[in-house]
Formats: sequence, C-alpha cells, structure tokens
Amino acid sequence: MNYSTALKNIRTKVILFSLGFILLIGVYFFLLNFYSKKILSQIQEINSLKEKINQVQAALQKENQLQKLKILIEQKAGKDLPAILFDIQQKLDRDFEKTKNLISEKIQKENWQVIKTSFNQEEKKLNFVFKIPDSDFSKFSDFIIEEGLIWQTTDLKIDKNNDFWQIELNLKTK
Amino acid sequence: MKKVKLAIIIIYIIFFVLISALTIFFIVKTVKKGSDLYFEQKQPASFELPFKEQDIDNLIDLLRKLKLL
Repeated sequence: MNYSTALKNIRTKVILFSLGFILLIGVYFFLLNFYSKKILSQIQEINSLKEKINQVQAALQKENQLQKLKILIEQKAGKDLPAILFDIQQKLDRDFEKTKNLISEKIQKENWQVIKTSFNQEEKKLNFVFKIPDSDFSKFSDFIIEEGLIWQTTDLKIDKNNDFWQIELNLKTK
Repeated sequence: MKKVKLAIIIIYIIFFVLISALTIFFIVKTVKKGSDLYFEQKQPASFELPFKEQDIDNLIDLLRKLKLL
C-alpha cells in the first residue's frame, strides 16, 4: 500500500465518520425536539384540566351563591320561592273572564252605579265606566291594588261630580 | 498518524460540546416554555351576587306594597 492509497483510505474514513457524526447529531436533535414538544403538550393538557377544575369550582360557587340568595328571599318573604312566583303570576296573569267577573262582582257587591261597560274579547280589552260615592274611593283604590288590577290597567280616568267619583277603567288581559 | 488521531480527538470534543450544547439548549427551552405555560396567570372566574341583602329587603318591601306578595 503506497502513501496516496493510505491517505485516500483515511480521507474516506474521516468523511464516513463525519457523516455518521452529522447523522447522530441530527437524530439527537430530532429526539430532543420530539420530547420537548411532548412535555409541552402534556403541560398544556394539565393546564386545560386545571381550567376545567376552575370552571367547575366557579359553577359550584355560583350555585352556592344562588342557593343562598334563594334561601334569603324565602326567609324574608316567609314563603317558598315557587309559592312567591305562583302568587305573583296569579295576580299578573289573570285572564279576560276572571278579570271581567272580578270587577263586575265588586261593582255589584258595592252597589256602584254602572254607566257603561264594553268588552272586546278578541283584543282582550275591558272598559268599565261607573260612579262611586265619595266615601267609597278608598275601597276602590284598595280593590285595584290588592287584586293586582293596577298591572292590567291601561288607562284610568277619574272625575269628581259632586259627591260622586266617575271612574273610567280600561284594562288589558292575557 | 498523529494528525489523524488529533483530528479524531478534535471531532470527539466538537461532538461532545455540540451534544451538550444541544441538550442544554433544549432543556432550557422546554423548562422556560413549560413554566410560562404552567404558571400562566388566568383571570379567576368569579361570581358576584346580582342582589345584596339590602336589595332583597327593598324588593320584598316593594312586592308587599304592591300587594304582589
């Protein structure tokens, strides 16, 4: 083996060695990158779990606060919440017939003088014009407020004629 | 032959330094990004009651005044 052949062999070995070296570095770089991304994705997974736990805790806190609010309302009102809502609904959602009967019965019971009544069942509108004695005015106002008719009233005209109040009551029902 | 041996030793040293640098770089990068991600400050979900106790008292009083209760 002469000198040039030996040099050629050494050069080939060095080139092969360098190539192997570059390949190893490349593989190592790939592995490091792969595991780095894997670790980061697992941290993100932990974060999303933490986020979910926070959301559940917030929902529990919200539920707890609303429960406290419900208990507080029930304590102050002295009734269950469904009963409170039922009472309010009863007064606000009175239908056409019930409203008509309620007012007619009251007028009849108190002997108030009816001047005019008109009902429009299609539009669910009621109109009562009647006269009440001066002394009955508080009865009328109590009746309107206690029965919740104030919520159904669309127009109310009151005129005083001597010792009488002439009242025109317009209502809209459900 | 001495030169070849020297070249191989230098290549080994470069190899070692590169591998160490790469490892340290990826460890630092992963730890930094990971800690940033893990300790990321997020707005804690909080819930405020829509009413205070005084508001409820007022509401109940109002409902009583309006004969709705």
